[in-house]
Amino acid sequence: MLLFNRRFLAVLRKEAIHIRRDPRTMFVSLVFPVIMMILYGYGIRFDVRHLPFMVLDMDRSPFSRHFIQALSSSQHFAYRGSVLSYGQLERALDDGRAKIGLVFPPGAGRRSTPGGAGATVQVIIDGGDANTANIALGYLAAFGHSWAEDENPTAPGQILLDIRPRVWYNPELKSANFVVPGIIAIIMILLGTLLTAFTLVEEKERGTVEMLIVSPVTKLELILGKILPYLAISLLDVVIIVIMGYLLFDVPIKGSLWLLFLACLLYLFTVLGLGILISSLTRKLQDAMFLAFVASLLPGILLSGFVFPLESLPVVIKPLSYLVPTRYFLIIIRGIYLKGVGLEVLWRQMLLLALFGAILVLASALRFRKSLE
Amino acid sequence: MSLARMRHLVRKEMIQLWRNPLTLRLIIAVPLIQTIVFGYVTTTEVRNLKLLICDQDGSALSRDLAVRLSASRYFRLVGTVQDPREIDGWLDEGRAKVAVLLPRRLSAYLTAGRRASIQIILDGSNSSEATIALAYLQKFFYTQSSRLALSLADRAGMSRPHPQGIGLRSRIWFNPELRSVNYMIPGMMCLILFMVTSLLTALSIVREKETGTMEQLVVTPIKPAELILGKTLPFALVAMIEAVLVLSFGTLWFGVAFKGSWLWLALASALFVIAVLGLGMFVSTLAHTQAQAMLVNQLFMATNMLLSGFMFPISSMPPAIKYFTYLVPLRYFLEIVRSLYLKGTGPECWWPQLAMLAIFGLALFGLSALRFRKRID
Repeated sequence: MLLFNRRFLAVLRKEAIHIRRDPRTMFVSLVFPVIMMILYGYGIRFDVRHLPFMVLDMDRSPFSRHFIQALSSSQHFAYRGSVLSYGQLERALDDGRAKIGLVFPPGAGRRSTPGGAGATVQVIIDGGDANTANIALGYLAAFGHSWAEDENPTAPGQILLDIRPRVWYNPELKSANFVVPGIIAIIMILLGTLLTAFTLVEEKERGTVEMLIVSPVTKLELILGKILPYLAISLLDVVIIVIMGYLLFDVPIKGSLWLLFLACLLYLFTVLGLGILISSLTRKLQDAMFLAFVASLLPGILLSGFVFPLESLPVVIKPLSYLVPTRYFLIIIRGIYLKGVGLEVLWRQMLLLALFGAILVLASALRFRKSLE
Repeated sequence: MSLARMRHLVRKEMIQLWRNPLTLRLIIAVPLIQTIVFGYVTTTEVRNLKLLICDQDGSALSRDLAVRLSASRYFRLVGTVQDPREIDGWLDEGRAKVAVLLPRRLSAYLTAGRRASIQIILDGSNSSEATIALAYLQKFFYTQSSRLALSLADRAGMSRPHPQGIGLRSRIWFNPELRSVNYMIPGMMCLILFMVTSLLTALSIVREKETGTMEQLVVTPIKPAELILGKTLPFALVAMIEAVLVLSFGTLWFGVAFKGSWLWLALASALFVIAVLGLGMFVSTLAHTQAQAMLVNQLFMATNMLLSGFMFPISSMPPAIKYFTYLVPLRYFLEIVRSLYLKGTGPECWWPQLAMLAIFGLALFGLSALRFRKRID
C-alpha cells in the first residue's frame, strides 16, 4: 500500500511514544472505560423499582390490606407506611418521602365484592419526574387489571378478549440488556473523540505543529498516523467493556463476535475522525472540548436512541438524528447483542458507518492546513 | 488579604476569557444548545411505536379492532400481514416493534360470547418502551372487551353485567401534564452550574502550570488566599450568568414555571457553587496537562450526572450504588432545586439537603484550597 511508507510510520511512532511517555493518558484510557461502564451500567435504569408509596386507608378492610400487600410484593413499589390524614399524605409527597399516595375511601372493600358497585382506589402520583411517573402509571394499570382478574376469575361475559403477551429478545425486560450495548458507543465517544480532539490542538498550543508543517509528511499521512494509535487503544477498550458487560451485567451476545468487532472498528473510524476534525478546527483545548461536547457527545447520547426512543423525537429534531453515526451503530450493536442477527439484516447500517468514517477522515485531512495562520 | 491585588487577578482571568471569541461563543452557546436538546429529547413517553397487525380473521370486527388500535397516538401502523410467519422478519429487522395477532374465527367466537385469545409480540429490547406499550395494550383490550360484552348483552336483551373489581383513579401532582421538560430544566440548570464552574476553574489553573506562568504568579506579592479567590470567583460569576440564562430560557421558551422562592434558590446555588469550585481546584491538583484535567473532570461529571437522580431515579438503583449517591453533592442540590421549582416548597421540606450542601461546600473548598496552597508554596 502506498500509505505505509516511512513518513507515515514515523508519525505513527511519534504518536505512540507520546502515549507511552505520558503514563497518565494511558492510565486514563484503560481505567476510564471500567469506571464509566460501572457508572453507566448501574446508573441508567428504566425499570422503576422500589418506588416509595404511602397509604391513607379509610377502609381498613381485608381488601385494602390485601391490595397493599400485593402491591408491595411487586418489586416496583415499596411500602413506606400509613398516614392518618390527607394532610399527612400531602406532606409526605411534598418532602419526597413518598412518590405515590394511595387513598382507600371508606367502604371500598364492601363495594369491591362481586355484586358490589365496584370500588375506586385513588392514586396520587408525584409527576415531577414525568418519565418515572409514566412508567409507574403503566405498572399500576397492569397491576389493577391483573388484580381484577385474579379476584374475579369467574366474571362471565366480562373479559372476552384475553391477551397473551410475549416479549422477544429481552423476555425479562431487563434494562441492562438494552443499556449495556449502548454504553460501548458512549464510551467510544467519550474517550475516542476527546483523546483525538486534543492531539492536534496540543501541538498547536505547544507550537510543535510548526515542525510538522515543515516536515515532508502529507496531510493524510499525518491524520491517519494520529488516529491509528488511538484506534488500537480504543479496540482494547472494546474488549474490556464487552467482557465487563458479560461478567457484571450478565448481558450475553447472541450474534457473531467477529461482526461485533468489525462494527466497532468501523464506528471507531467515525468517532476518531470526528475528533480529529474538531482538532483541526480549533486552536485551544478548551474550545476543542466544548466543540467535542456539542458535536459528538450530546448528539451521541440524546439523538441516537441510546436512552430516549427516536420515535418520540419532535419533528424538528428528528431529521438531525439521521446525521448521527451512533444511531446506525446502535442498531447494529443491539441487533448483534439482543437479536443475534447478522450482515443480511445489518449491511445497510454497516455501509453507512464506513461512509461516515471515510468522509470524516478525508474532511479533516482537507481542513488541516499545512501553513501558519 | 487585599481586594486591590485580587481585583487584578480577576481582571486578568476575564481578559483571558474574553480575548478568544470562539471560547466566549462556545461558553454561551453550548449550555443553550444543551438546554434545547435536553428539553425536547429527554422523554421516555411512548409515541408512534411501529405496529404490525397480523389479521388472520379478516372480518369486520377484526378490522374495526385494528383501526381503533392504530388510531391511538401510542402506535403507528406500519403494515398488515396475514401469515404469522412473516412477523419474525419484521421484528428482526426492526421494521416493527409490536405485532398484534388477531386469530382466525375471532369474530365468530366473540359473537357467540366465547373468550378469544389475542397474541401480542413485543420487541423487549427497550424495556421501558415495552412496559408502557404492554400496559396500554392491556388497557385497550380490556376496554374493548367490556364494550363488546355490553353490546352483546344489549343485543341479547339481557341485563348489563355489573361493573366489577376495582378502578384506579390516578391524579398527578406537581406536573399534571407529565411534561418531562418541567423536570429537565431545573436539572439542566444544576448540571450547567456544575459543568462550567468545575471545568473552567480546573483548566485555568492547569493552563498556568502548563505554560509555566504559575511560577510568575507565585512570585508576585499576591497571597495564596487571594490567588485562590481570584482564580475561582470569575468562573463562579460566569456560571451564575449561565444559570440565569438557562432558567430564563426555560421559562420563556419551554414555559416552565418557577413556584418557589428565588432567595432560597440563590442561597442553595451559592453553596453548591462553592462545593464545585472546590472540586475544580482539586482536579487541578491532580492533573499535569489540560487534557488530563478534562478527562478527570469528565469522570466527576459523569458520576454526578448519573448518580444524582438527574435522569434516572435513585430509588431504582441497586443498594450498594444507592449508598454511594449520598457522596454526590449534585444529588442534594437537585432535590432542593426541583422541589423549589415544581412543588414550591419551603426549607422545612429540604433543610437536611441544604445542610449537606453547606457541609460539602465547606469541606471540598477548604480541603482543596489547603492542598492547592501546599502545591504552590
